[in-house]
Amino acid sequence: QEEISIRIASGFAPNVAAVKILQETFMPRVDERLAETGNYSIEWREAFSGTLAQPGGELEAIQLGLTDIGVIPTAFHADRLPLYQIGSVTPFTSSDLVLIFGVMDDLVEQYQEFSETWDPLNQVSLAVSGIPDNYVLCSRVPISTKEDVDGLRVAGAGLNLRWVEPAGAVGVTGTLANFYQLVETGVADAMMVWGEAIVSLKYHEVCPHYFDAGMGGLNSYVINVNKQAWDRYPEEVRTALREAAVEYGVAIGNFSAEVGAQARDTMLESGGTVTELSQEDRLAWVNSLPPLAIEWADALEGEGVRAREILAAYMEAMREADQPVLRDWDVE
Amino acid sequence: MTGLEIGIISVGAIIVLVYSGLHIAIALSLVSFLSVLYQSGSTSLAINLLTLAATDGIANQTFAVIPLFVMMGLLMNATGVGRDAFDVGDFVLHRLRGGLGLATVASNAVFAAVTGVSIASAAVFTRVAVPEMLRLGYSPRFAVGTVAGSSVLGMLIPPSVLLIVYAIITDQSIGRMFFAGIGPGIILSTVYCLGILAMAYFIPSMVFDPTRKFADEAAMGADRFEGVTWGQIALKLLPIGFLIFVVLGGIYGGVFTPTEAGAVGALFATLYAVLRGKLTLALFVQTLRETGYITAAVCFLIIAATMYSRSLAFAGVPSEIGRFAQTLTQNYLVILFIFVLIVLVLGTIIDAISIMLIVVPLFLPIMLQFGVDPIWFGIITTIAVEVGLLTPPLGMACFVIKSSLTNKEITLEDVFIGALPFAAMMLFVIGLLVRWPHLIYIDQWFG
Amino acid sequence: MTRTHDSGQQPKATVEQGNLLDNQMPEFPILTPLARLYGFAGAAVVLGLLIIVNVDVFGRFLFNRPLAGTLELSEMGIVAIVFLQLAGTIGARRLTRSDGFLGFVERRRSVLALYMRAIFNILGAVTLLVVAYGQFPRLITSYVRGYYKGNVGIFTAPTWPLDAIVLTGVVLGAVMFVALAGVNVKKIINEKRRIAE
Ligand code: NA
Ligand code: NA
Repeated sequence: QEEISIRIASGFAPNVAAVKILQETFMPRVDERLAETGNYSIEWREAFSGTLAQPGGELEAIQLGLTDIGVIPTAFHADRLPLYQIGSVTPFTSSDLVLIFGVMDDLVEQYQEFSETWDPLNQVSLAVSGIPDNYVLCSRVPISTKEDVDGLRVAGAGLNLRWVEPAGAVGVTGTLANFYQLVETGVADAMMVWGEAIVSLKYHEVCPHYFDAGMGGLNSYVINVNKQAWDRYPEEVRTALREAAVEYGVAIGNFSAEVGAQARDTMLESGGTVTELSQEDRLAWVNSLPPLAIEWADALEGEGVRAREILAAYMEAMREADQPVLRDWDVE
Repeated sequence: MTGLEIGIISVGAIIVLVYSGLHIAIALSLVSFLSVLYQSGSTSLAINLLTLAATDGIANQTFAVIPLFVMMGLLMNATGVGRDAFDVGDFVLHRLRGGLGLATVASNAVFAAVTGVSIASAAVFTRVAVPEMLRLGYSPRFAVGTVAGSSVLGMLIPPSVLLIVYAIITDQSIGRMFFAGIGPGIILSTVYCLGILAMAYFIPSMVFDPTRKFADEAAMGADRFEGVTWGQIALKLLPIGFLIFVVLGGIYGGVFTPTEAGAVGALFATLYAVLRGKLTLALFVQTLRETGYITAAVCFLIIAATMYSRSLAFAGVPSEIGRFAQTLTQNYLVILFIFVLIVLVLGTIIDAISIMLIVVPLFLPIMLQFGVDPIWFGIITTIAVEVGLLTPPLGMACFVIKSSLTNKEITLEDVFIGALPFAAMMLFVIGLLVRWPHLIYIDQWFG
Repeated sequence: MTRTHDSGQQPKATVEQGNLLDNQMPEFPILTPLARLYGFAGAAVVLGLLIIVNVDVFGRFLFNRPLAGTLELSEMGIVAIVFLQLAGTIGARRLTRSDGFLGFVERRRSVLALYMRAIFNILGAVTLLVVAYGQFPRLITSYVRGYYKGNVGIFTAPTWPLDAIVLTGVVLGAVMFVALAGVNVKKIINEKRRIAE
């Protein structure tokens, strides 16, 4: 039996789902697969909690070979990974993460533009995953209509603030780490987060009102391997890594849905309210947004990327899977 | 070679290089480079480790506030706001032996309510308190030691960059972390005061300079506060009171976050300086440049410390330490003891924020198994990490004091030796908080 | 005896006394003016940081109009400040060190201490050049590929200017170290000549 040493890194700590599921699903699944034949075993070298790279620094750490494998939060790299931002320009489409990851993985396989993204970055991407299943507003005051959002100061992570600003919200750029503080002190009135984050990070303590406008979720992570490390691994190990990375996506998607569903109860228990936007208002909202996806695709088309085709394929897959799809983002 | 061996050898190399006089940041970078080169055999990897840390080691908002807090400190020094706070303490406490030491601690505790970084406190009170103590016959070591020790309050009493970092890496509420810093801040200040009184009454040689080398005999004999009224003293509290009102009011009134407080505080300190007619354009430019220099020296050290902690992570040292601690014992007090010990050892050569990033994720899960309150653990960690500000060879507070001193006869060793009793008192406070954990919550003090 | 600077002169860094930092920097042709220029640029970034954070805070609180890009600009600003000030910090001998042992050697064997200082300065230059070597390709890539911080449609800032500041900042710092080593070597030669005479 040959022992292979693999360094695995994330800027997040083990209490964050990204790393927790790595430890609970990804790594054990790789080990189990390899144990079936007994040819190889992995000696995992964990470097979590930002000891090797900050959140967002994983991409370069993998590129430069400081780590062999890592989870990359793709939203931090709109400049390097424009194709992976497709979820953030197609809101109000789906909150089924496992479906989203499956569709994305198919697109990655079908369009070489995805792997071409990674070639200059000296890495190989195993599978798409992520955590936000459905963006909701977690607010200090109850919200029930689109009008209530007008003038609301909403803490958000960046790109997805474009989903709420047309409804009159004032975007306050922050990070998951300071949302609690922003809302607690009243600097922001609400935050744009997903159910799992509300429960895990106890956001309900500061904003007990849950407002679901059906904005949906998106892919936000990839698991990647340094190119030189990948070339060193035997075929059997590569297959085990790929399959386990897909399972990681399924596990984290299910985790997000499960914990996310608890968020509603948690809100009610802490004296808050849970409200949903009417279908009518949802349509009004989504149609008030600029053509985010077309703008995004056209910018990429200019660089010779078949983004319109990719966008159409993504939306078609969502329609075929009977997702809510409140707006056909691929149609002008 | 195991990770732990690499860790021990690299620590040894850093200590030798630093004490021979190599710049500390260079020593840390060089050892990190060689350590990764040795482990991986890849030059490009070792180079990239340094380059990456240089560009992303400080690129976040937590560090971005450092220059603004430093600038606020410099302006408060230039306009005499720090001095006024100190004068008030002096007036109230001057009849007690060691009164100037008490005044330094008390005014630092108040100043801590507006600053988020200890280096600002250290810089301001070196200029304000040390010359006055020397003039009145205090020993130089005691003078600088008191400033070093009480500068620690700047990051224990909120707002505090260190408490923010802990809250971020452990998903705790920053508000609650801040609240939990108040009680221990008061306890530490009190212990400092009692310690100073004890030294002044029982071992006066630790507090007063028998040779009176720097003393101004005339000033010592005279009643310095003859003719000074309580009204005049109260007036001196106005500027600092106003700044505290702006900073705390702004934070709790939902105007800005504790990290943004540095910028607002610096703005108001600037406005105040302009109103007092103390700020010329030239002085303002100098303040900006001085802020830049202090920021560069401090952040370059943080960058180098990041390189070093990453080289340790590359060798797997953190997880080995964690495993080691876990297998050692199932007694939580012993693990806590080991934890504090590790923090103290790391505190000699790594900066405060990096230590938190390295050890907290390793030990918090172990601590949680014993049902420990993570907020309490954060306060214990913060105080233990802050001891490192006072210990050689890398003691940020002592460095800042040394570089802010106008009296060049006081050496860096004097600062470290003078700070020693205060480091000991910090450990005593950790002991108190371990024995009575609820002490961290000020609202639980009286039932 | 420990000092935080190389030569016997005293650093006078007190703001209220007037900042004499620049006078502490030895006057090397081209290098010192350049380091000073970078220093002023660094001071300008400090001022910029002060302004944008306050505009963001008060814009948000008073007019519901926060300043887009404050987060990204502060993160980039702090890095810029450090590398713009680096050469000046080195030149003014304010890069933190503990030179108790050096002072001890100086009093007994002054030439040996000068050799040590020269070696330390060279080591400093080498270390910074290592960073520069790794940074050069990063600058090229970020320029060619047009890397940016932020989000399209909200706020974006290209990263290549910052990467250029880091690169030129460490190179300037390395040159400053070399120049200081040159001063050490000159002193060694003078000292040897004096002993020979
Ligand atoms: Na403070
Ligand atoms: Na230390």
